Amino acid sequence: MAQPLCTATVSRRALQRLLLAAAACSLPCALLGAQLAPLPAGQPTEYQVKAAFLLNFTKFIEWPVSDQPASSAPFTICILGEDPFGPALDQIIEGETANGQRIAVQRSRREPVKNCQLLYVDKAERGIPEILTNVGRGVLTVGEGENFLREGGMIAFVLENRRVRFNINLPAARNASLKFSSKLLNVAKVVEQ
Amino acid sequence: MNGRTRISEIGRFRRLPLQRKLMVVIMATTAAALVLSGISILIFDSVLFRGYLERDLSTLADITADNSTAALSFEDPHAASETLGALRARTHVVTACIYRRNGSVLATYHRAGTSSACPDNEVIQTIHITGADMTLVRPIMLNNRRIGTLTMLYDLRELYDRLRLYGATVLFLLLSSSLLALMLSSRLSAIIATPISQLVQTTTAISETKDYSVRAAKFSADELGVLVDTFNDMLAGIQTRDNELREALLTREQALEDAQNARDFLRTTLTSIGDAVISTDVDGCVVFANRVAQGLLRLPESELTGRRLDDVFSLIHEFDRKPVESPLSKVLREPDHVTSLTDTVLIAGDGTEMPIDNSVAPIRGDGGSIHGMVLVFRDTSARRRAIETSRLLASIVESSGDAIIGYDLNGRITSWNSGAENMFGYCAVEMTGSSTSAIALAGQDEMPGVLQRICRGERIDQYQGVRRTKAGKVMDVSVTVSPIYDALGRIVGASQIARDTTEQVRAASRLAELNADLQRSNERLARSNEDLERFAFIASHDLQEPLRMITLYSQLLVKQYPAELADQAEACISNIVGGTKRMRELLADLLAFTEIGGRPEDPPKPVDLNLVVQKVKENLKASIEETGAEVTADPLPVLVVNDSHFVSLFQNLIGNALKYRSGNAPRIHISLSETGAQLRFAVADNGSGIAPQYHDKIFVAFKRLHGKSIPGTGIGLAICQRVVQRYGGRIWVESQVGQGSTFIFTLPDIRYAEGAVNDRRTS
Repeated sequence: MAQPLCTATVSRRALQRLLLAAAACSLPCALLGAQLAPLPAGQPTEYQVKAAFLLNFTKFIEWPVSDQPASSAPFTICILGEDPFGPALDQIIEGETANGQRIAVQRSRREPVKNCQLLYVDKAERGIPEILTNVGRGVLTVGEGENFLREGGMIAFVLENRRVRFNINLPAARNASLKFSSKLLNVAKVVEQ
Repeated sequence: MNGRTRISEIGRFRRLPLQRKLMVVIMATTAAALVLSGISILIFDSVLFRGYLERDLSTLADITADNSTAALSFEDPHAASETLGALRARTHVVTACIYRRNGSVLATYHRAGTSSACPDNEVIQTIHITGADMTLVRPIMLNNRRIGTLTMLYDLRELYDRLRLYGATVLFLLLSSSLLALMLSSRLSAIIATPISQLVQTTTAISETKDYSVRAAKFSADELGVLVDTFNDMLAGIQTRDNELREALLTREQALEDAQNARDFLRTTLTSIGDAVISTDVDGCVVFANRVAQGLLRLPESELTGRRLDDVFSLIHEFDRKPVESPLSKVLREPDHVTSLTDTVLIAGDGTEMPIDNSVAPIRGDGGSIHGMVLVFRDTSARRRAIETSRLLASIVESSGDAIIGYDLNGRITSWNSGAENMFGYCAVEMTGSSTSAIALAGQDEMPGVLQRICRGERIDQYQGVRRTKAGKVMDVSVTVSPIYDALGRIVGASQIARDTTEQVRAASRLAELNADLQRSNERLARSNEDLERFAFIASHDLQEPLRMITLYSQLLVKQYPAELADQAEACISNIVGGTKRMRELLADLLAFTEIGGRPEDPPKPVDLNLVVQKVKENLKASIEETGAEVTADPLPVLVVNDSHFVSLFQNLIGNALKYRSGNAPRIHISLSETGAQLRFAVADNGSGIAPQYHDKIFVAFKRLHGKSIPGTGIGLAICQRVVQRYGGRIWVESQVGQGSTFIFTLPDIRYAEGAVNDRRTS
């Protein structure tokens, strides 16, 4: 009788030790995880913020299934014109996915751009309405300034009090069969063009 | 201490009436159930509610976190604040904060009126409770990436309010249900307790009164009803047995009492029997001796019981004084006889001898075997003495000269002594059995009547009777008849004692004749005495007149013829006058003397002797003044007498004292003393005194000691004696020559009493 009782005691003590060890480990691990998060020092630049926004847009927008590329194909962010982001965008999308696909950035100076799920049009481009007209269904169009929406764009970055905000042209988005999350609409200024 | 208190409380509970106990049990059960369920509900609810609350809040936090993903993603504090503002609907949410991924605060929410800081977002636990607050920490995830953190501070007062409400409800339920239980239990417990307490009352009453005819009342048909029925059956059984027992006891007591009475009666009989009774066992040891036996044997019962009969006394023959066979051996030898022994003398332990009659008998048991013997004997010495006494009396009767005759109640003669034989000439044989008429004169037998009076218990005084002898001679007899009593004091006959009084009667008649002669001569004497007194009175009264005439004419002669008469004649006439004067005084005294005798007088009346003495002193005033005498007196009483008698008495006594004086001035004193019922007067003087040989003579009339030397009639003291004797007194003198005289007279107490005179006047 004494033997099993003894083992039971020992095993319970062992269990307790294990639990204590786990508890002791969990706090530094969590702290370590927080510190490892990529936090750029200082105030981020405008385009760093916009790059992060571009990535975040993919998380609140649902693309139509038929227009989605094959699972092996990357989620392509196309930048038309001068690339204002520089390496910031590449850093942002590093290791990220969108719509379950890896993200690729395709930069082109002129038209046509093909196989894009997100098209960022630089503000210096001319003939934006024509560009936008040529864009097919299932492509999110992002540009700069309120005019971009009037010209048929879906999301336009604007600066308010030196903070980056964005406006959304919801009918354009519907025409392109993109579903905008209400959460996204909550944080944007929705413009009915 | 504590344990004892608990025990005493348990004891107190045990002593409670059943109804109370039931109530207490019901109440306790109810209260326990309520408290238990209340606490269970409270615990259960608090646990449940907490779980619910946690889940609810987690959900809330999840939703809020989810809703704030966009705001976080796009750095929109405004939108984040709006999202958090939705928490306003939950009033218990105090603070909510959204942190960015780098830990800086994006947006905060504070409940109106509070401004607590955001909790530390570094807290790892998702739910953390401190005091009245619960802190929730939620990571805000977007596409499985943590993009920020939501913290929420929740006020747990809701939980506690709820718990408090529950507690109050449970308490209220507890109280109200207790009240209900109290009301119900008092009713319900009565259903059980009332029949039981009734049963208890019945049993208590039965055990106190022992009245087993009482029955318990039945209230219900349950177990209590069965109990009551069983109890009543049991009671019936007890009652039956009790009655039987009682009867058996009564019978037994009666039997015992009867036996005791019989034993007492026998013992009392044996004890109070006049003969001595001793019983022994077969060995001759005394078992019982009654009081007479103890007295005769001079031993108390304690010393008699257990001793051998032969040690207690011995028996000898009366005449030859030889020992008599022991009663016991005689009984054992002749067990079928009751042996009587006479002419035996018992010698008691202390040597006292007494003649006894005795009888001995065996005591037989039921089987006829001899258990002992009983000896009954009697002291016959008293009887012997009585016989001797009666013999003595008989010889006295026999030798008496008087006739002593005994009668029975029928008047028949039972005894006739020799005196009677001598007196009446009949012999005893002739007279015994005959009636009294033989010695009575024909038709003059008074004895039957006398005997009847004797029978009635009347007393017969001695009387004189007449009897006739056998020879026919009639004799006077003095008869005394007395009753004869038997031993019980009843009259069984009479005795007549007759004495021949013929000679006495004859002498008595002679005496009577002589007395009659004497009477006659006395009467003659008295008549002549009376005549003599009347003559003396008349003479002394009537002789005064001729004397006065002699005196008058003698004086007239001297006056008328002084010249004619010779000197001698004148002297003769003077002598005549002197003689007549003396004679007149003599006659006056004689008259006074006779008046004091049988003469009719004034009736006596109260006379103050002080006034009498006063009057006497006035009468003798000249003499008193002449002699220079001093007459004094004690205060004297008022007597009921004739005053002239006492004036004479005192005047003669005082006059004598003045007359027979010595050389000195007379000192006369009247004193009074009382001896018994007599008044003693003394008149003392300091005169010449009287020689003792004359003390008697001086009271005789006309006896004078001094001849003619002192004037007087010689009748004064005779008058005094006569007065004193008339009132029943005595007078005498105590005197010696030259030493004065004291005349003393006594009188019965005839003092005047106011009441006595009044009585006499009214009657």
